Parts: sequence; C-alpha cells; structure tokens
Amino acid sequence: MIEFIQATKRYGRSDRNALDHLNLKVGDGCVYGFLGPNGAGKTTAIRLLTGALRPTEGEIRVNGISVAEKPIETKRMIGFVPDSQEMYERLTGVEYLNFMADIFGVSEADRKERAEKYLARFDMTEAARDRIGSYSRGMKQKMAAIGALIHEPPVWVLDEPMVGLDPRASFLLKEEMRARASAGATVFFSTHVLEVAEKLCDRVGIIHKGKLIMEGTPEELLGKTGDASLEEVFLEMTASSQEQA
Amino acid sequence: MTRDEDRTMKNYWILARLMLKNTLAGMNPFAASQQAKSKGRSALRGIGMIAILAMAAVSVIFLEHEIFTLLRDAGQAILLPAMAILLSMLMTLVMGLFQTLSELFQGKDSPFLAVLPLTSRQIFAARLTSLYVSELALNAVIILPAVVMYCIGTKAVLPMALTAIPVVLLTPALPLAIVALIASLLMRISFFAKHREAIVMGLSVAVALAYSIGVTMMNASSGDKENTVFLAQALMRKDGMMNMLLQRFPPALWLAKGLTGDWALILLAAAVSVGAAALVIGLCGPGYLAQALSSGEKTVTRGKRVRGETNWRAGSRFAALHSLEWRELLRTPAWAYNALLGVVMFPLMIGIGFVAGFSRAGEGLELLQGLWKQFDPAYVALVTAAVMAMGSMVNPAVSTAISREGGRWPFALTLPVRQQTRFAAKLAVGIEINMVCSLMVMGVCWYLTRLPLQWMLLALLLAMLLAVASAAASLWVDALRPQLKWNSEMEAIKKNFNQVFGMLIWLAFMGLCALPAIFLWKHGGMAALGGSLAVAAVLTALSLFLLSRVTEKHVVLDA
Repeated sequence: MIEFIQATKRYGRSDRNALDHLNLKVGDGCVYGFLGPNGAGKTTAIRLLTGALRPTEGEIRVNGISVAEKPIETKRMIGFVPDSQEMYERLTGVEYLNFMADIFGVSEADRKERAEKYLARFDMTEAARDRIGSYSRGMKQKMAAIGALIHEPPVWVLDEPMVGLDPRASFLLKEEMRARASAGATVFFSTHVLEVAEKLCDRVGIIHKGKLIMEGTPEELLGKTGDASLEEVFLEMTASSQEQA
Repeated sequence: MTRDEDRTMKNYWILARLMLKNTLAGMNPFAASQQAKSKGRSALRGIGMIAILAMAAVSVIFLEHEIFTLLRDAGQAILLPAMAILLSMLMTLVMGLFQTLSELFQGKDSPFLAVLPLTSRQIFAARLTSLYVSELALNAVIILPAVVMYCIGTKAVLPMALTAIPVVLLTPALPLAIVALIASLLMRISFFAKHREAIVMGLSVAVALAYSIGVTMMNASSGDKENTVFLAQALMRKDGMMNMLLQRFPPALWLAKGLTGDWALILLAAAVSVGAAALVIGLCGPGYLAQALSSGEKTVTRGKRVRGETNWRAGSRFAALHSLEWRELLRTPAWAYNALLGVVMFPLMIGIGFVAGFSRAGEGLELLQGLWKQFDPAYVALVTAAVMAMGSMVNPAVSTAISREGGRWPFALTLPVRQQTRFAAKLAVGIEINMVCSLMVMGVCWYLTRLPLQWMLLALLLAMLLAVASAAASLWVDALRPQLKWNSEMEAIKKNFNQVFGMLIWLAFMGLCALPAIFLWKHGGMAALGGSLAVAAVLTALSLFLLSRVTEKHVVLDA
C-alpha cells in the first residue's frame, strides 16, 4: 500500500510547489495510473515515493512505514523502473541483475530462478549476456523492469514504462503488471498513454501543476465528466485547470 | 565567394558560436549550477572557484618569477617566455590528445548534429574552434605572466605587448592541428578493430608514457642535480633540454624569437599554423562525422559477452557496489586513463629518473644507498613516506566518484543501501588504487635507500593514512556537491572542480603532517615520525567521521 499524506515538494527557493499537498492512497492488488501533462509533478511524486527526494511538507508511507523515517526499509519493498535511459551501460545484463539481486539480498537459488523466468518472459535471455550499452531503448526498459522484479517486491513503481517498447514488449509488461497486482502487489505507474491507463488501471489519478485534480476508477472518471474516453477527460480537466489558474 | 561557400561559412560560424558559448559557459565560475540554486550560493561557488584559480595562477607566477630571476642574472631573460611557449605547446600536444579525442569523438550531440543540414567538415571545424579556445585559455595562464615579467624586467613594454598578442593566439594552433590529426588517425586505424576503445586508449596512453619517460630521462641525463644549476643548464646550455626541444620543434622557436620583434617569424608561424589547420580540416573533416557516429555505436556494441555458464553467485551489498565501481572505472576508457595512469606513471617516473640519473655516474647508485645510511632512519622514512604519499595527490577515482554517477544518481538513490555502505565501496576503490601506487613506489624507494623493513612499513603506514584521509575528505566534498550534469565521460572526470578540491585537501593534509616533523625534529627522528603519524591518524579519523555524517538527507536530489 502507498500513501501520500499532504505531500508537498518545493525545489530550492522556488515559490511554486512542484507537488502541492498531494493526498493519495493506493491499496494492495491495485494497478494505479498516474496521469498528467509534462511538468505536472509525476516524476517528483515518484521520486518522493522512492526516496530519491525528501518532501518539503507532508509524508509518504509504503505499507504503513514512513519513507522519511525508514528509507532503507521502504526502499527494500519497492521495485523501481526509471524512465531515464541512464543505466549502468558497461555492465552486461547478467551483471546488472546480479548487482540488483545482491543489493536486495536475493539468494542464489531465487535469483537464478527469477532471472531465468523473467528473462525468458521478456525475450531477453540471449541479450542478457551482452553489455547494456548495446541494447535498444526498449531492451534497456525491459532489463530495468526485470531488475526491479528480481526481489519480487510488494510495491512496483514504474515511471513512463511504455516509452520505447514495441507492441509485444508493451503487451508483456502490461500482463506482468496485472499479474503482480493479482498476486497482491501494488503497481503504481505514470504514463502519457491514456489508452493503456484506461484498459489496464483499476484506479487513475490526474495531476496538473502539482495538484491532483481528479481521481477514481476509469469508469467513475468517465461518469463524472460524461466524456466518452479517458483522453477526453484528460484534455478537459487539464484545460479547465489551466483556465482556473 | 559563391552562394554555397557563403552558406558553408555561415553554418560554420553559427555552430562554432554555439559551441563557443557552451565552452565559455563551462568556464564561467558564476554560472548557476544544479548544486547552486540561489544567487548567493552561485556567488559563493564562483568566489571559491576563482580562489582556486588564483592559487593556481599565483603558483605559476611564483615559479616563473624564480626562473626569471635566475635567467635575468645570467643575461638570458628571453628564455622565460620561450620556455612558457614551449611548455604550452607540449601541454597541448600531449595532454590535449585525450581532451581532443573526447571532444571530437565522444560528444553526445553527434547524432543530433548529424541530422542537421551541416557538412561533416563544418562540424569538425566548429569542434576544433571550440577546442582551440579552451587550449588558448590554458596557454594564456602560462604564457602571459612570463611575457609580463619579461616586459617589466627588460622595460620593453610596448613592442612586446604588440608581439605577445599574435604569439599567444598562435601558440595552441599548430599543436592542436597535429593532435586533431593524430586523434583522427587513431580513430581510423581502430575503425575495424573489435576492441576499438581499448586500442585508442592504449595508443594514447603509450604516447603520454613515451613523452613522460622521454622528459624524465632527459632530466636524468642532464648532469648536475643541484636545483638551480640543473635548471640553468637545462634552460641555457646549447645541449640543454630546452634548446634540444626548440631545435626539434621549430614553430616554438619562431614564436619565441617573434616575441622579440621578429615579425617575419611570427608571420611564418601564422602561415604554418593556419595552413596546418586548413589541411587537417580538409583531410579529416569529410569523414569525421561517420567516425564520430560509429565511435558512439561501437563503444557500446563491442562489449564483452559472457561465455559459458551464467554465474548467479550471491554476494554482499558492499561487494556488489565495490565490484560495480571497479567495473565502471575499468570499462570506461576515459575514467580508467585518468584514474589509473598515475599509478603506472608516478612510480615509473621516479624509478627511471633516479635509476637513469645515478647509473650514468657509475657507482652513483651504491653511493646513494650508502648516503642514506648516514641519516637517521626515521628521517629517511619520513622522506620515503612523502614520496609515497605523492601518488595519492591526484585521485580522481575517489574525488569524482559521486559525480561520475551522472544521470544514474536518481536511480542509485532509490536502492536500499545505506549511504555509508555506498561511500565505503567508493572509498575502498580509491584507497586500493593509492595502495598499489604506494607499494610500487615503496619498491623503488627500498631499492634506492635499502631502508630496513620496519622503517619502510612505518613510512607506508604514514603514506596510507594520508591517502585514506585525503580520499575520505575528497569523497565528502564530492558527496556534498556532486557535478552530475556532464555530456561526456571525459567531462565527468576532467572538467570537475572537485578533483581540484581533492588536490587542495591533500596539500593541506600534507602540510599539517609535515608540521610535527619540523617542530619535533630536535627531540629525535622517532618523535618527528611519531608526531606525523599521530597527525595523520587524527586527520584520517576526522575525514572518516565527516564522511560518515553524510547520510540520506544530505544526498537526496535537490534537498
């Protein structure tokens, strides 16, 4: 379970909140889509959740434990797939997975079994022996996802996971996200791909200028606005929020 | 000029201007950085950097003034600017090679530039212009104080000021053209090779090693070692080192003579420099972009593939981070070169310098070994420790360890690892590098002094304490203000002020350790050595304590 309680982030001496008193609760077994235009605060929220940033105000909890108070403990519960293409490119895929498994304290037998399972599932068994620097963007994304799954985390956080993936890889990742949620894990991801959010998510939140402007199941959102698709909801909400500002 | 040629020049200027702006912005100490969000912090950072630059400039001026006094008394004052010109050219020729390789072939913007309506030659020429400005700034720091001293000393201010401008402007031009040609040739030679990066870096290191060994051997073979006499001989004798170098590289001689008012020689140097630059751009420009792009592809695709059974052996968090640090360092040529070259070069230069110098004197080596026996072994141990510690003066492996994480740092922070474990792994790599260097130097020192083992071990202990203290303090600085935004791997390590801070910390620690040795000497050698060891131990404990206080809350992004 993930909880944002009045979570606020202001960078440096800026007078604008990158994230403005966010209140959000995502339960176990839920796939949660975090939507918003560029610069809305999605990555800031994810960085606060994963402990790479500290909130200016408020609190973030993972399975009831405060990220600020016990960062190492909460980080152990999270598997994080970053949106950035900056990976340890001089390592081979196998070396990277071994590194992640060591960091998360995964036993030899478990890491072998999980790595082989996920490598096969994402068609990366052969490529795992090559250096990550030789991978395409999609392959890097898949390797990052496998690295984040090696300790089978109760909370899976993905920042723009569909970027660069081919249709097959995208399908496999969505299947995995659903499978993780069915197994009781919390899956939290940011995306621009509204069709994905509409079909995959149990709940969706729309963030704009650091504020959560709408939240609920895709059906609830469609019902509230009377729009035909999540795309229309998104455009309407971000436009009306712009006008109010 | 045809319309096409006009367009060509226009595009070149647009690109060159952009690159120059980028280069100059990088040199601006007051430029707002990721770490210095507020104006006050930017100003503080700027003042700090200016203070460091001023210290470096004062050191250059002090050194040049000492040499100038010596030369003026000998009636050969003109040799000072000549020496400065020669030194600047040699610096560009040797040290500039790595910078040129990095700027020309490892720029992350090459794929972007490739899709713009620009020719390969325009891009090459623009990059060369940007490099020229960087080298010019460095050369000016060395040449201008020498010229000013000469002008004041000889009261020839106006004519010298007029000739100094073209001389300074021309100094980096020809060496840079040569270096660009070598860099392009290296890339072309290695084009079809499987391990291209390793070959290019190996050949570059071979050039740097050959140069350093050559200069060390020339130093060693120039007779008398007494400082001033040796310097005077090296500079003024017809068979001295400087005359030898000037004769072998005439453009330096033309510029040196041009400074005294010989405009014909300045024009000759200008013609040769411009001609060389045009020739290099003409020869290397057309194929440049393809090489730069393929370089970007091959550096990553030619990676090693794991053979045989895949190894899933488990290890500790520290071991994982330690192994990651070594792999990254060894597999990134720019980092491996900068972090590890000193380990090889420093002991080698000491060894060659001493051994070559004393072997010329026949029984000189035995004489030296006997000479040390007349001194208190504690004193010899102190000198040996100082020589060993020199190897840890510049340790970019540790002083840029956090900065080198670059764009991966946000991800690294999400890993469930205590900062102390992360820092310990990085610190261990830095200390291991110092340890290897110190042990190699210890071997050379033992050969030269035949100091008993127990004293040698005490010297090693002192050197290692200093190495640990300065490494921990450098890492502390890098952890508090990492330079995470860089465009090339070379930039991450080379254009990083934290490396300079690391060097200053080392100098300060060295000075602090020398104080008890000076003041306690009257109480005997053991007291002096003991005092230095105690100060080094305190500094080590203090540095490690400071580093251990840097926790998550200090190192999160933009906190």
